[in-house]
Amino acid sequence: MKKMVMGGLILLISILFLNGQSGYAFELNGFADVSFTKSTKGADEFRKGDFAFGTLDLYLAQTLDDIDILLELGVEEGDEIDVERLTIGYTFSDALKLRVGRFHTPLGFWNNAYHHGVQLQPTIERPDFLKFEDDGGILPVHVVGAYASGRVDTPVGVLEYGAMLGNGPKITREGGVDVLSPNNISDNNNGKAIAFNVALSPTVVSGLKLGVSGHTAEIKGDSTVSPTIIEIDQTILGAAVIYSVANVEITGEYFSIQDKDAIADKDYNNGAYYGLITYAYKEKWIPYLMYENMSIKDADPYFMSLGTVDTTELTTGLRYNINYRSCLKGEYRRIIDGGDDLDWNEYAVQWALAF
Amino acid sequence: MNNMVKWGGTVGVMVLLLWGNAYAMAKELAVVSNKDFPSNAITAARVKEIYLGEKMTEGSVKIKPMEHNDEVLKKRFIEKIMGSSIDGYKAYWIKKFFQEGIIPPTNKASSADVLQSVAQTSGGIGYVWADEVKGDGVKVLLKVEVGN
Repeated sequence: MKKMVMGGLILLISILFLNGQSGYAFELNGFADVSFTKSTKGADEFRKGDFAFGTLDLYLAQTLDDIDILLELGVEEGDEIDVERLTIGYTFSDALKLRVGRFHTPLGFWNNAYHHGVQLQPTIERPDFLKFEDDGGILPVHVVGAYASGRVDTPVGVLEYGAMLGNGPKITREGGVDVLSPNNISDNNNGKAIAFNVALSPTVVSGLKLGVSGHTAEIKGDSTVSPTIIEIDQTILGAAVIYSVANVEITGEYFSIQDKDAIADKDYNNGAYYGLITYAYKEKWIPYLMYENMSIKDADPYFMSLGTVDTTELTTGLRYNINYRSCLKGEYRRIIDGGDDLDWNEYAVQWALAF
Repeated sequence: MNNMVKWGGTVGVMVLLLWGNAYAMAKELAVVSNKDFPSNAITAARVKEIYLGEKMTEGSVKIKPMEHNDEVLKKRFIEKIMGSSIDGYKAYWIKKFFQEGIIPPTNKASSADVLQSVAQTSGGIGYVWADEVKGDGVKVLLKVEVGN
């Protein structure tokens, strides 16, 4: 899906052209952000203090004669266009919506709440283990397949669910490093990925939402990775809690990542979690504190291939909403990188916009 | 003593008149739907779910909510029914539209536009000032007092 600049532009222009011809209004919306980051150690490019614009995210959605369509394009690093989401769907009722295409796996809360909209998320950065696949992420965030979801009022509260079947991810080499890839146009193994998400907002505790999710897939490396033979049967189980009371919101997510090395017949249990607390003062000022941890087995071939190491990170910051479309964020991060036994600090500011 | 009774009576009548006047001037907004909408009444909580894009169907009918461009009416509706500020409501819909591709309520320029569109659209639902409701194609599902 990378480097599809011309393809993406042609697609966008075609849709906007059809906009004028069909009588339906496609409104182009998007997100953009510019950040400045300075780091005391870690990635070289940030040590001197660098400006960077993040992903320019463009999206549009419309219902055409009861058929729902959603397209999201991400312009990354200034010259690469990714089709982040492209779904076609039909809403049968509140209890059943069906979508096919490329979408986010129903894993956890953050993954589906913020997508690529940096202005929406409370912090400047996503938790490390929830980063996108092409940004060093370890969870299968995107998938191509079919997805059923719905919302049901029950005597105990509102129940939301999602279930999907799609191509499992693969490990491939991009830009000199091995990364997870969603297998956009074919699957390089026989097993399909299956995932689910169930969340309950109980009536007895207003503002509380509890969720569980899971994802299982067979993951192989393609011919570009080294070593070329990687066969992992992976099961991910997640739990999430969100509690909003007065102006305070508390969010926590935990993922258990169980990898079975099908070649060596060995099992590895890994874990990752974050906790985030925010306080909104007059809808304008939002201080926040986030703690995250990723603990993995060094010998797990999945993480060896992706170059992942244990990480603990503490982030504290302040968000200021200029208006409902635009915000400034400033944050401090204390990063503990267990793999190289390095600790460092990062300071970042960001101006993020929805348009 | 007589004077005190007279003054007390006068003040009491004035208070009653002022209260009655204020009560009489309290405005109501009406949530209206297409006449073929499956329900004949609706709760404020359900209206909120509809305008948050949480409830999208009623029976087999797909609900098509419409927004009013009149700033005063819209503000009263959002504050009273949605329990939100205008900015909070707009921010919510940026998020909802982006997350799920659910189309926000469509904007209509006037009460006449709202009533006409609701009457002509299966599943159409909108809100206007209660004293503006007219036409055979719509029915009132809910009336809410929104102050003066």
